[in-house]
Amino acid sequence: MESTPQTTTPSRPGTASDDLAVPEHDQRWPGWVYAAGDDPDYRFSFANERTFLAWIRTALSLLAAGVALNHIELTISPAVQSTLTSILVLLGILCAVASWWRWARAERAMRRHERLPALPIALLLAAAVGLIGTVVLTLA
Amino acid sequence: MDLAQSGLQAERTALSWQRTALSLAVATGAWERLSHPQLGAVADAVTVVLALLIGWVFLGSRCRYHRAISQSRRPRPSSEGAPVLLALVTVVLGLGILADLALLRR
Repeated sequence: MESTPQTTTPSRPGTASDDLAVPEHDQRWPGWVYAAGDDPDYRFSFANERTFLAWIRTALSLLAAGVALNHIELTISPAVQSTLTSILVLLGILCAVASWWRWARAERAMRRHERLPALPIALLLAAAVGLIGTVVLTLA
Repeated sequence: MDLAQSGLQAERTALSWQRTALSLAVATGAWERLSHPQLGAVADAVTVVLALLIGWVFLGSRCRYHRAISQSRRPRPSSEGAPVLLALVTVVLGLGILADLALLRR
């Protein structure tokens, strides 16, 4: 099913393929992403967009998990419970910021044919969620 | 352009936006439950604004997808403003939840 990605599509003047042409002055925002390089295969841009959306859903889930943890009755002390809740919500906020930052840097790297950036937040997120889950399981 | 290749890319991305809209609805509902006792009508007003945004994300992605396939042209990623708006709304929602939790503790 997967085939070699097409990087260019021939554009003929006066035909329906005109909209494929890359504009001379790219007005898209943010400028630091679109100012240099050329448009990658559009499927890669779509994949980048879907990865961004997956991170945003993770951020929203962390916010919802924080609210849920605040609501449920646990035998742990209220101070610990509210600390864990705050950590989850803060992680959600950090995750939302990182998701856009990752999307922009990946798009920029693809346009310039550079290597894709790494995302250190993934390790932090996995460690924090694992730790919070363990604390709730053992203390509650 | 192979229709299956281009169509599926746009469709998968549109579905991803729709899943995100549903997640945003869940997070908005959670925030509303937390805020309503303290903020009352203000919480309701913010929820209405967020509901409109959720509708825009959901229906906008559907419209973009249908427009792309009906015009049989290469679909375009919906980058630019939409991702940063969505990320900002998520951050503001998170800050709202933190503020609610701080108020509840007092």
